[in-house]
Amino acid sequence: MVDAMDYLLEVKDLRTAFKLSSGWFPAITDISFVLKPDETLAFVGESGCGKSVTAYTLMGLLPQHGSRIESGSAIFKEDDLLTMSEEQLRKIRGNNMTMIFQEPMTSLNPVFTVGSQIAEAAYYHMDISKAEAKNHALELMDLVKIPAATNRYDDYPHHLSGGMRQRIMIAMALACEPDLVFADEPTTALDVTIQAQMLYLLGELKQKKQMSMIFITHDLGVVAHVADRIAVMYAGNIVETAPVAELFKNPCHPYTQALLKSIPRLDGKAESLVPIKGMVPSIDTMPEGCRFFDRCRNKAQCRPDKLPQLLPLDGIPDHFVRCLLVS
Amino acid sequence: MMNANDNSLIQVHNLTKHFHIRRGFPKSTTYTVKAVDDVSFEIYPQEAFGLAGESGCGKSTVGQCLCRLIEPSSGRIRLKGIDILDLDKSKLNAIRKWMQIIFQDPYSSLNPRRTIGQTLVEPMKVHKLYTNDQVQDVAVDLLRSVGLPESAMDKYPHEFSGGQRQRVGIARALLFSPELIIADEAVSALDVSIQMQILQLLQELKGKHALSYLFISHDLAVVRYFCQRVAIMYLGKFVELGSVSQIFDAPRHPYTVTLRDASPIPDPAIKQTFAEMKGEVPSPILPPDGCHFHPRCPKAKAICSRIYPPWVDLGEGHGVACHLYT
Repeated sequence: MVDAMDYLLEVKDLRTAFKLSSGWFPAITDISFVLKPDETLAFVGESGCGKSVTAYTLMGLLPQHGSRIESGSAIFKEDDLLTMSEEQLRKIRGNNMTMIFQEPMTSLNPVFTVGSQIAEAAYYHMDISKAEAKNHALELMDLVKIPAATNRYDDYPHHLSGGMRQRIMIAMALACEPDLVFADEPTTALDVTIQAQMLYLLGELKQKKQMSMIFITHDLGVVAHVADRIAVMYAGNIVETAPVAELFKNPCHPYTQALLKSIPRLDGKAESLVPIKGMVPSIDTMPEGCRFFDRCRNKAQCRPDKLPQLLPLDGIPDHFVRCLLVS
Repeated sequence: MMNANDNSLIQVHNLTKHFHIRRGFPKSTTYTVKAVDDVSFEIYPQEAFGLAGESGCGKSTVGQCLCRLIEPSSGRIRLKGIDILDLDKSKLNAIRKWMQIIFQDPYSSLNPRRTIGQTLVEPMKVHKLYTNDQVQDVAVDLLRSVGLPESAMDKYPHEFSGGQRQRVGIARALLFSPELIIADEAVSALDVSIQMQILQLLQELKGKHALSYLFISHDLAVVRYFCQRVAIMYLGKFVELGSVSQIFDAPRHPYTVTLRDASPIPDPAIKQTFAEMKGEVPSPILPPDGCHFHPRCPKAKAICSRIYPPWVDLGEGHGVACHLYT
């Protein structure tokens, strides 16, 4: 085990539950991972697998009612994000730790100009004057390649296209030189050529700014090109985590294998595609044992009642799998 | 443009749809949006024809014009030799049986207050295709053929998952044994594991019922997997048309190349640079003069900003609208 100080973020045994009419049900359980400085970790999974809940839990953005963190710790630098007071958290959030949301139109304030929204973050966190904050915002708009930034500063969000709005979101997230950026499906709502622009921009910014990123997406094509490490999630668990090249070359969990076999490729390779039978279990009917059991192609050799742990793979560093049949 | 072949199922000639919109206050101006502009193609029996492009390129409008959910401004559409734009309403209704549409969002396209059974049975009664005793059995058979149990008949749309709802949408489209199915982003809202289930179901039904598809999608990888031929659209125009291997392995139009290179391939071993692409899709209200793509085109010449390129036949069914080949 490496010394804990080598990690920017260390999450252990995180469990977040939501209240339904019939009681409390965990949306994510047993989420443990580490994030190194300058690393991009991608959470991949289908809708409802808990990838966004994980990010919202760590950012302290869960709804106040109807949700609770049931266990776990999340050491960011030296402090536990989960036990921090709201006031402490506010100092970190938007400053050391920021988030890029999926839909910039609903996350930007429609009645303030985009420039002032970027400047606000800098003004509150960086101890600078309003004029300095404005200059800083203009620099950031240049950085995210908004053409003629000075003219765009006083535009309202609805004046801008989807791609430009997403650039504003990125500029806001970078305003205070954060150590960690959460990106929650930042390219999903965009057209493919605009998505490519964003991926290019994010890659460039990561090199310039030296930041860690937690990238949440359902698109395996996108992760293959942005991530250093991937955590595959299924029904509230991390089922496999490995460096990106290793995961694509040597997927070990039956779900990861099935997922990779079920996506068509534009370069025409891997044409024999196999769909994954069945559906994800819903939050109130989670099986006690392995959550993928019902859909797993190896279920004949496995047992339904035993819960697998996320364990390291023999001989391969940094590759963890949650499967009873893989050691 | 493209020669109409006699054995095609549907022929579309110079299809055009202009929308008129008013902008501005207090003094408003009327603009013409050329949502679909002079588009021609044909679909052969048991062929899946793809229509791909970015949002706002007009691909859905083409689909809706085909079954006259939107009235085209001009052009000709011949389905099995019948010119469907000439038909009055009653004759059109008879022909619509041959042509059905599957929508992107199966939740908003199913009536939430009706059980699946009611949704499936009513059109059969309207078209008087079966006796009242038969309709239930026909509906149950259909549900089975799309992989849903008989119990689904008495359930409401909200009781199903997205994938199951899309199966209901497919069952509804199959009610009258159509020959052409217009699938408008039919798998785009689904998760990857479910997406492949539905694609394979559509594939299987294609063989079983001798179906043709107009498959509208923004996802090039899905189009490549599912279709035999594909047309790429940009601001209401076809920029390139050909077989999937012609279009994706040897694209000729700079826009097709851009689109292909921008689609991330799920394989880290393939290094994609996402070479920085200029600009964004311009507004369809005032598209650029000449070739609509020229402001973003890496290979634009002087002529491109003045004259819209003619359609160039490259042989073997491959065509492109680009001055590089004139």
